Amino acid sequence: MKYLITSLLLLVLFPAPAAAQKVPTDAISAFFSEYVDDPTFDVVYVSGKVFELFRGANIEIDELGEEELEAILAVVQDIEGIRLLHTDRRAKDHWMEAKNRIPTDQYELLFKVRTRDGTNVEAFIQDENAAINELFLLVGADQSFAMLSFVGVIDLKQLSKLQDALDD
Amino acid sequence: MMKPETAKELLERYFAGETSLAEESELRNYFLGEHVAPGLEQHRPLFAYWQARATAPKALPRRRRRTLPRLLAVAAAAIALLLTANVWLPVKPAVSDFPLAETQTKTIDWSKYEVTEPEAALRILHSTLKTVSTEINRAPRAAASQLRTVANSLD
Repeated sequence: MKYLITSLLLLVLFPAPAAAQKVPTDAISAFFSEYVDDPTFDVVYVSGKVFELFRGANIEIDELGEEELEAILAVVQDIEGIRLLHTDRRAKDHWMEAKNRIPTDQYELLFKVRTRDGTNVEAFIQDENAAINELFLLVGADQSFAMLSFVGVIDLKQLSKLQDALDD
Repeated sequence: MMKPETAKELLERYFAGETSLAEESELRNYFLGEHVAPGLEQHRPLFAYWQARATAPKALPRRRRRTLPRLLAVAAAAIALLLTANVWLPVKPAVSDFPLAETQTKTIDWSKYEVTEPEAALRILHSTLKTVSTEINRAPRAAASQLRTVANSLD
């Protein structure tokens, strides 16, 4: 019994050195790096610097008016980058695996939604000093699986208001 | 009835280890009896002890009650040790003199996948933001509409 207590004390007193490892700032780089090189995945990265170009570039997109563009830019002004992974192979397996890989001590579940057509959405946030610095979404359907990561200062209120602007 | 002299003589031979079994039994009977010569009284407790020893119920075989908990304790200690070892052993190799190079081999080269063309970037941004904002609002809206249904049915 003495040995047991001693071992347990050792466990408690010395935190695992592995926990002190530094992780990259976005969830995809940290936990899904092998998917990025997987040819069955579509990978997209948009840097925050590109957003700066929108204002001056005078881009014409049919479904996007001046107001909508402004609404989008208001949301992304503090976003450093968007990462997107998508695949239509083994969507269910990827969904199950991805859910297990998100460490709950670093990421907080923001919401999860399951719709009648079998689409699952789970959103996680990582925050530091009361500001959200990453929004991470997992979207799993029958035939597709996607991961979305927004890195930067994210204002959820602005983001939820955006739907109204884009729906018009 | 044994005479004190005979008893004394037998006793001496008893202590010398020269008595037969029958003689020992005689001695025992004598000392357990009531007429023990005053000079031999001191030996009475010895025979009383042997008698008590012979008639006492056999001691119960020792029960092995401790075995299982001890086994468990050993197993638990072993598991705890394994856990400790597990935590300590996979310590990463010492950081090299070039930590910068080390981190760079690990990070993903996102520039390979970067969309630099503004129009394409805006399209992606538009569709992802639409997805996210729709999903963010889906749950609260569903809850709100359910609440409205409940409220209406209460009216």
